[in-house]
Amino acid sequence: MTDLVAKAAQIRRDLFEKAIAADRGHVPPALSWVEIAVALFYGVMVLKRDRFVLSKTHGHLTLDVILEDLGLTPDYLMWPGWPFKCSGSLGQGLSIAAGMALAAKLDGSSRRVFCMVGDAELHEGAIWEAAMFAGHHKLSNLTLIVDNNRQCCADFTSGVLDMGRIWEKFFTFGWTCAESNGHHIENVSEFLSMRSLQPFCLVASTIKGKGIPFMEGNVKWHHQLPHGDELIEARRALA
Amino acid sequence: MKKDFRDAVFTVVLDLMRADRDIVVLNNDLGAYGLDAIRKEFPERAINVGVAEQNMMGLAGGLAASGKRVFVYGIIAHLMRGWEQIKVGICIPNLPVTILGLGAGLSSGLDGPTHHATEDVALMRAIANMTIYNPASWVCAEAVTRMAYEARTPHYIRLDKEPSAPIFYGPNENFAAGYAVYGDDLSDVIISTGIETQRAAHEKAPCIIDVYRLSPPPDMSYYLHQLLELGTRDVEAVRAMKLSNVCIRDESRRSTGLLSIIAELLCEVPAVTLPDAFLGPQAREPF
Repeated sequence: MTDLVAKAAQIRRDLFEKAIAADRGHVPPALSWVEIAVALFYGVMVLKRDRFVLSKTHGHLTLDVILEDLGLTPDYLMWPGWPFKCSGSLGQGLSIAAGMALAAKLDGSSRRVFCMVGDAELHEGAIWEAAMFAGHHKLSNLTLIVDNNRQCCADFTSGVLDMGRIWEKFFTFGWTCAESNGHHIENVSEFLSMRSLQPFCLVASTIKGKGIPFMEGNVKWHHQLPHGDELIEARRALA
Repeated sequence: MKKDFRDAVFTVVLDLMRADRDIVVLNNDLGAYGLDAIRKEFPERAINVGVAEQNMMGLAGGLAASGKRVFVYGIIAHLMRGWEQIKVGICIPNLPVTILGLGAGLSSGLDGPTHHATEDVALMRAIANMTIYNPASWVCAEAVTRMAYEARTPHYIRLDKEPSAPIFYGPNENFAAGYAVYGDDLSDVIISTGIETQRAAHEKAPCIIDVYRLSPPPDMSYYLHQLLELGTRDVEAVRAMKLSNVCIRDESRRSTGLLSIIAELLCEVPAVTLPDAFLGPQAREPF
């Protein structure tokens, strides 16, 4: 597990430097799900078998760095907008993941499908269409992780459309639900390894910008990059 | 012998499903006798996803990305609700999904504008990688359904609710060209698609160009240039031409169907536009 904690720190550094080098990138939304990504790609997922859909595509820096680290080329619809390396369209990934889960069931395969969404992304009605479908069809091979960093782009989510008790919403749609600290790799790994007779939803409490203190919980940093003194401070925090 | 487009198409789909265990059919709670037959024989592969079109299109993308070959069926006007999912989940990744839309044009006339399929061609044309068929005859509908399946790329096939005759199509017709010419009297031509081709045939029009593939537009340059004598580039002569020998007929608006397609084919104004493909992330040239 200490290895995974160290891996998470490395992934944070790498994704940050990637954004700085390109002079563009959504850093805080990528930082908030690093532990979740590490738990999945370096532990829970059976890489050749399972599927992962990054529905909150603006968190892709994390995925880019992990795919490079593992030497993987995404050869399936891994994010809305695939095969282009682009920012996606919110609210579409869960339907795609549900389709993949359904395909696996039709094939009698043991494939698991994981999908990552943001809490504000749950504003999209299409998410709930997919949630209803997965619940009704008992897609027990489908696991959804909500990166609940409680922020959208312009504000805190509660100031725009408050999502209330997210787990309760999925629960009533026929999902097995859990809540966890999204930065605790061991807890996250345990929950993501769980199976039930229903689709599984993990609502992970996270901090947008986790790892760079002046970004944490600060709405202004959604896709802003630090320069000068702030850049030095960020690098020091991530070291 | 007249046949309903749905019956024709779903007979083909059932036939394909018997041979290919990877075909899945999705519908958004809209029924059809042919689909009932499919559901009876392959209940696990014919899925009514409920009244949720955006999810239906996303599911189609996820299924197709997992090796399935998908047919989607619903009322055209409401399928368009899933437009962005069609673009992002099906067309950008260029996946084997064929959308069968019921109610082309004013098929559901009495149901009013919420059911009129008068925008869908424009909407689907706007998406790269999408092939659109608008068959006038059930013979064509059967053929293009097979072609769509074989192509393994995104397709959209419009189905009229009016039962159709074979019109002038024989049983072993080749539908690769995208259009067909009936008759040879170019002094009186109708260029039409779908129900308008049926009407023209019924009126016994001497010469009909049936455009059954709307996107990508078929190469009809030979006929268009013959008809309009655009070989001459004398502007005055072109303006003076009385185009009384040709008429475009389509159950859509000027901007949403065959007329705009023909107009684009004829446009010889130099133009700088984007290519007919999805572009990767790229920065603009600064100026």
